[in-house]
Amino acid sequence: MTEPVIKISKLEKSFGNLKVLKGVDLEIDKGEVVCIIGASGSGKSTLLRCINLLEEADSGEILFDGQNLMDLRVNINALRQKIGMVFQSFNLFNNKNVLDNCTLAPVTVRKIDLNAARETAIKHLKAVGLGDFIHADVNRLSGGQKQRVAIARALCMEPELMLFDEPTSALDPEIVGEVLDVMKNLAAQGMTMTVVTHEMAFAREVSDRVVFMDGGVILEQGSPAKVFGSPEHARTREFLSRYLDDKK
Amino acid sequence: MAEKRFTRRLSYTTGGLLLILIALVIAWPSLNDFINNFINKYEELDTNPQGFIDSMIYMTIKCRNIMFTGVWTTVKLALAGTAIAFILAIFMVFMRIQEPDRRDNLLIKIIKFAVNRFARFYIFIIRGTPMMVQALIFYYFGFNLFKRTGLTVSEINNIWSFFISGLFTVSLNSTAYLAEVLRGGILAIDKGQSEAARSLGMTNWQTMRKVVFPQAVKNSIPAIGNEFIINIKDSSVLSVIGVMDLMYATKSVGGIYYRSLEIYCVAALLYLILTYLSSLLLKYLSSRLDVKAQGIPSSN
Ligand SMILES: Nc1ncnc2c1ncn2[C@@H]1O[C@H](COP(=O)(O)OP(=O)(O)O)[C@@H](O)[C@H]1O
Ligand SMILES: [Mg+2]
Repeated sequence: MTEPVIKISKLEKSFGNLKVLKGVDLEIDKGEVVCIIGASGSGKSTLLRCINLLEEADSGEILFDGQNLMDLRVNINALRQKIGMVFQSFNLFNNKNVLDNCTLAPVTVRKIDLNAARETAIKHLKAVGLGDFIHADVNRLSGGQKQRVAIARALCMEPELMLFDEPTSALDPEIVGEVLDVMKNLAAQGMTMTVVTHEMAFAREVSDRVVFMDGGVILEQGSPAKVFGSPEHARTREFLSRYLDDKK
Repeated sequence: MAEKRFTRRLSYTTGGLLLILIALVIAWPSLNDFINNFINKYEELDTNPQGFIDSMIYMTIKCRNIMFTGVWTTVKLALAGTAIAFILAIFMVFMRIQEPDRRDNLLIKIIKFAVNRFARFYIFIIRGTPMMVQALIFYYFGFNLFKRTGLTVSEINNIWSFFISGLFTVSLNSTAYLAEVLRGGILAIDKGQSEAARSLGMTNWQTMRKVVFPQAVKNSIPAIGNEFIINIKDSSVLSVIGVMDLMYATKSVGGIYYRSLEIYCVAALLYLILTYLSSLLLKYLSSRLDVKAQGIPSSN
């Protein structure tokens, strides 16, 4: 058995008096696509943000690349390069065009030659269907286009793990598909992905494992067939039925 | 599209300017005569006329060299002072926004804490005291400092002139205000911008320099322009240390003729012209850069 890409144990995090993560254990293997589902406020975003240290967890362990990210001496910038993150609100750099969004980090962080970085960026932008928008102003793109640029931007750093925090929640329903298609492609290419999502159809179709979070813990996890088909916990059933009702 | 609109606007502007230029060339001889006659009429008077407006014009024409030096000095103080302050404010705001992070080593933590406290203290002192007091303190402080090096008073007056110490005052004063302007600009940038940069492995410094700061400066341009306009007005307090600005020139002229009200009205008019022209310029600049301009600001 190979080592997992990332191994989280007993992770806890509070904001003031509010305990948001109450001991989370999660392992993600190479090439695995894990979807995290759960009610709003259950701590899904906080978990993702703790993984790439946008939030500092209070206790527990996050093993990545043989290093414990919770150790204050690790070089977080070096580690973050290998963990791509896609945000609900895209967060494209407003002062840069599409191409420059994608080349900024490779050039400044990885010290890659600008021409080489551009070539890589164009390759990724074409792969997400934005070959014609290379020099576009990011503020003029549609939400779906923005999110695809954000994915391409993360891929330009050649990450070992991609985190997605509700990548389609800010999009109009008719645009969601174009972003999910890009993510499906990525999964098919063997990218290790952790996706917080409310797109149950996507989770069912693409993920290797579904994780249900509730009240700051992982209540249950398993194959999509198991979690969607025969959930163990009443809370999971309740969430799923409520969610599927809402959607229909 | 935008380019087309721009060229069209440009051609309107150049067309308009060209028309004015042609009109000026045609009208120049008679216009020149008119101006000369106007000036001569007042130059030939021996006494300050009784009429209010007449007296204003008379004193302005008689002392136009002093008044012009005053206006020019005020413009220089405001321009150079704001420019120097902008550079210093960049350093100041970087100090101000330093916060020790739990992942920093002890030395870095101490340095960050120290520069942060220094910047807060500096801004607190400058914003909490009148520029007139600051001008006097800087002037005498500099003077005493040079005195210790054994220079004579006239040598000191050459190096630490009224103008230099006045410029020093405007610059250091505006640094505090502009640092706060820039800090506001930085805080107004969506946190998602820096989070995205950090998630790509960029350091805090790279994130600030390449992503946050350029956006913050752009959004701060109207406020920086405001600081320039404020400096046009507030540099008038520097006349207390003897800087030959518009205020000082006005006082001198008033002293020659014992007609204070009239000459101070001239000063007010000149200040108004300066601030109004500046605000027009700013509006133009802001619209070109697609940021929102404000009107003539109140004082610091
Ligand atoms: N920076 C923060 N400061 C204070 N409370 C926060 C912060 N971020 C999240 N929370 C709180 O933590 C809880 C979990 O939030 P989050 O992880 O965003 O949940 P989810 O992504 O599952 O909706 C929520 O109650 C939220 O209000
Ligand atoms: Mg969330």
